[in-house]
Amino acid sequence: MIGPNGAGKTTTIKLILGLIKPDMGKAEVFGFDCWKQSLDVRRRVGILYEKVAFYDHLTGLEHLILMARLKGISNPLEESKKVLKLVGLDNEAQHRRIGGYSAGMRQRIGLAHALLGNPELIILDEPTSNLDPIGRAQVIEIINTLKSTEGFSFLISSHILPELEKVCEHVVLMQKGKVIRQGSLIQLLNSAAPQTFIIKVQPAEPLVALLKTEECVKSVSLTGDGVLVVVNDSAVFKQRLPTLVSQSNASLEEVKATGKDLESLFKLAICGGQEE
Amino acid sequence: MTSFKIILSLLKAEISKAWNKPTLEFAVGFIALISITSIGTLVKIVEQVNFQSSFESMIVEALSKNMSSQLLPLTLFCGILMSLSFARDYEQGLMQTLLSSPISRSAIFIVKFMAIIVPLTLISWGLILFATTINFYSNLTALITILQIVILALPMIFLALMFYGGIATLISLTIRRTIPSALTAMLAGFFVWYITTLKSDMIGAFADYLCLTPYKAPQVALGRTLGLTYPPDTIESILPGWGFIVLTVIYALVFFIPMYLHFTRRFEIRE
Repeated sequence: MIGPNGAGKTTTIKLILGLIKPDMGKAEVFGFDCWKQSLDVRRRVGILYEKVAFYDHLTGLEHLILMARLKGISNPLEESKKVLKLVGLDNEAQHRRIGGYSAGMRQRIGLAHALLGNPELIILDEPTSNLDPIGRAQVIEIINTLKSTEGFSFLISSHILPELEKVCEHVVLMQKGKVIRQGSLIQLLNSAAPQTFIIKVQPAEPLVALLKTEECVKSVSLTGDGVLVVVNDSAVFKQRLPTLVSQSNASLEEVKATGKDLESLFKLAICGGQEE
Repeated sequence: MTSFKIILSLLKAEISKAWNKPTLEFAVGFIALISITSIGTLVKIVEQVNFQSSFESMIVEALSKNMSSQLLPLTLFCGILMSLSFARDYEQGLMQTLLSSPISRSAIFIVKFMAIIVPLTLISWGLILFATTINFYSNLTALITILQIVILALPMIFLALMFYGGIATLISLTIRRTIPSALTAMLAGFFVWYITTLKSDMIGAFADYLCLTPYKAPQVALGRTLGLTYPPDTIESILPGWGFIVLTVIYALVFFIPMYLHFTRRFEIRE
């Protein structure tokens, strides 16, 4: 589940878990109403939040035993040890207070908590946003392993798209509370074929104004990376671009045709203004 | 329905979190200081002014005085601890984690509330009992008499703290930030105490009704239950003793029930 800030990803997760009530309509998971039958939903869903919080005075193992009890698991000790092993924390760290854990270890304990009781669905809300690159890679590796070897299903909300690409099979792209794209990753990447260019130019505004008048250009937007241009006819565009740059008295630094990746799809869908 | 065993596990975790070092040590030390100081002073007064008082009435007077002096710090502690339990958990995300567990909201609310109120009541009551005992102990019979009298303070302290706990919960769930919630809850507790200190030359005839406030009502209820005599023609002596008990119970529930309903039905985790 991807989308810019404020797209409604976390709100969707909170709706699923019955932490907020829908203003209108209703949300259902596994056939259960997420607000009225939230306990039934929560029994089947594991969750790891971006802002991960624990009983910091307890040890990792004690915390998981408590959480296993709250989930109604009959053998909390065995289950806790099992999930600690899955996230690679079955060492002396499990007997240390969580308050002394590093961010990476906290994230692992959070993941272990989400795995308790073999949930039918595990929701991860920005699971790697607070981690350094090494920690991020470790968490992604754990998720990949759990997905492939243990058969867990994940719903991941994240901004870090290259990492998501490594683990996801199905993508939902949201903006302003609405789904604007969804489908399998391969299908979406293939559909994102329209020629898209990122032009780094100084100053950008005059070129943007000129590009908007061109027939071969479908949409133009100014992003942090430069001018994002979606074109109808790339051959004509490539021919016209030097003239337009010259007319705008701008200095061209770089022109890049975007590849078929999640990040390009994201930029195209969000900045390109195309909605299904 | 959440099982008793699950609630017990959560209660244990909440109590150990709320009363983690140095909260318990500080609370016990501070309230002990107040208890011992107030009873020591009173014994002297009773001995000098009313030396013919019976042993029981001395204990009653001591108990009443001790509870009166303890209530203000108890309300302040209650405000801080409730904020740490509700607002901090909301702020740090533990509330979100708990509410995402398959455990009823009723259980979470009651456990978090009682994890503060019950230990605070027991600390206060235990220290009143201890201070009274070291002041009046002479033999085993005296100890039994002390116990019989002091035990009556237990429900009154609990009910009084329920009121302040309710206010603090309301503040915590409204502000949802630890420090502002704790300060506001302390200010609210202080205000409830402060209005009882106002004299008739400031508020006129309203001063006669101050015994009906949430701060005074539990004390008068205890006093009337123990047979303390109040000046004639005052509200304290005119109103029946059970009236003050009913008032104390109403105060205890006046914020607790709405906050319970809010938490179980409408409380939402929003940014």
